Amino acid sequence: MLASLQILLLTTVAASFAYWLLPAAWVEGRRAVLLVTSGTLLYIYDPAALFVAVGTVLLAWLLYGVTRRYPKYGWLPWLVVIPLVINAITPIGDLIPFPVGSPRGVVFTNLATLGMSFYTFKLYSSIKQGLKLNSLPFREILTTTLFYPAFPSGPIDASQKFDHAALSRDPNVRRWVMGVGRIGLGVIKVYIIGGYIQSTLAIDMFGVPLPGVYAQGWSGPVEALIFAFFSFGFLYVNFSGFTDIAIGSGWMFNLELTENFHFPLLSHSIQNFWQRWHLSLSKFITAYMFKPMLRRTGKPALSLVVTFTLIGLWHNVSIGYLFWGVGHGSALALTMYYRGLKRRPLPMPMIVRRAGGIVITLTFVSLMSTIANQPSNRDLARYVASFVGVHL
Amino acid sequence: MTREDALAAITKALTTTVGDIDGTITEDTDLVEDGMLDSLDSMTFLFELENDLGMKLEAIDETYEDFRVGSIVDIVVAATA
Repeated sequence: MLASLQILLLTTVAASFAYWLLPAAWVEGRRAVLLVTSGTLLYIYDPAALFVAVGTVLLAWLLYGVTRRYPKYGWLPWLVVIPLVINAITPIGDLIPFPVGSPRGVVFTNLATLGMSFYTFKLYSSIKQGLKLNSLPFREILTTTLFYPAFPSGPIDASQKFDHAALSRDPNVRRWVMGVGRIGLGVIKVYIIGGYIQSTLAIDMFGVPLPGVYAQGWSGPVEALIFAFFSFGFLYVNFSGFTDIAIGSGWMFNLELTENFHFPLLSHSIQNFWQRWHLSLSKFITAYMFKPMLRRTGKPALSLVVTFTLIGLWHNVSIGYLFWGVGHGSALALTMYYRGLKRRPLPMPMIVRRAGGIVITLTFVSLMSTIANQPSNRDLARYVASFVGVHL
Repeated sequence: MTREDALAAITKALTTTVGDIDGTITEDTDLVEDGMLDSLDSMTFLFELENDLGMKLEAIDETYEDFRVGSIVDIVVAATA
């Protein structure tokens, strides 16, 4: 695993040197460096993954062209999800792209499915932005989609992050060094902290490494609840670590990818959580799903539930993620409803309310995440049953 | 619609969205930067505003991000002219 990581890092350093050796006027030469590096790494991982990704980009570009020609069919860009849907219902799922050397534990099974999900949303954003700007060069969406550090888990950025202006920036040594540092932070999170949680800490707490807990089961509600915090913490460390690696790699090329996390473990409400967790997805949901649905239905609460249910199924077509989507959507709708009642806050100091809010929010999101990421419906049933002391 | 009327409509939509507002809303207020709206609220707010005005504000698309009240007043005044 570490050997593959070293290859990935050395590739990034070498590619950034090659990139900066080219003058700013040679933007397409710089783009070629990014595309060749990304394409080669994806090809090494799985030639089919590269094929599927490029095919999906072609589909997106075609949809952009058709929608631009026939603007009354505003729903056409959503057809870019077709490969994702096929992927979800056929063995093509085995082709799911993931970067070289990434861990493939049980918890990662669901994370891995996100690779295609992420670039599908990147492509949709790119089409919408392209329609707005009346321009979507094929080379730009291809660069955005294939950019290897952000390929498996985002952030979800439109292709305009890789436009002519972005690639013609001057070299920035300070930014490059900061990028190396940010990648280092990601590596510490994923490989040191994540590795410690997944093996040493999990064995101390549950007697087996993290993936083994699902097979072993939970002795009762307390252990099941502790496991929820544990697995959500692990998910956060890994997800934010991979995001740090992606953003840091972008900085090495003086490219700005969207920040995805803002101390989500300090969220004091479910609304606050979505202002801190997976920000690029939150922005996508708000702009392209919640707002159009709100305009169509006129019902904010219903729009939230439907939107988050769809987002849950986007993560993975499973009962667990269906619960996740309905749960998050309903919690947000309830928060909106409660605030509409204009009740006075509970008569207690702000710090106590905030602390209580953090505990409740973290418990909720941890439970939702753990339910969603159960490897199978049977595991899900066993997990839920353990809260009432039933062993299935 | 005058700028004052537009400001009143914005304040009403804001109240419907987030409840009582602390302080006064002026054209220099930035509803998102000043913490009055989050991203989901902002969409609900725009929906409420369009609802109150009884029209769709074409200048505000999915990716609209300028929540300075003065900018929204400009849009409302132009749309109702």
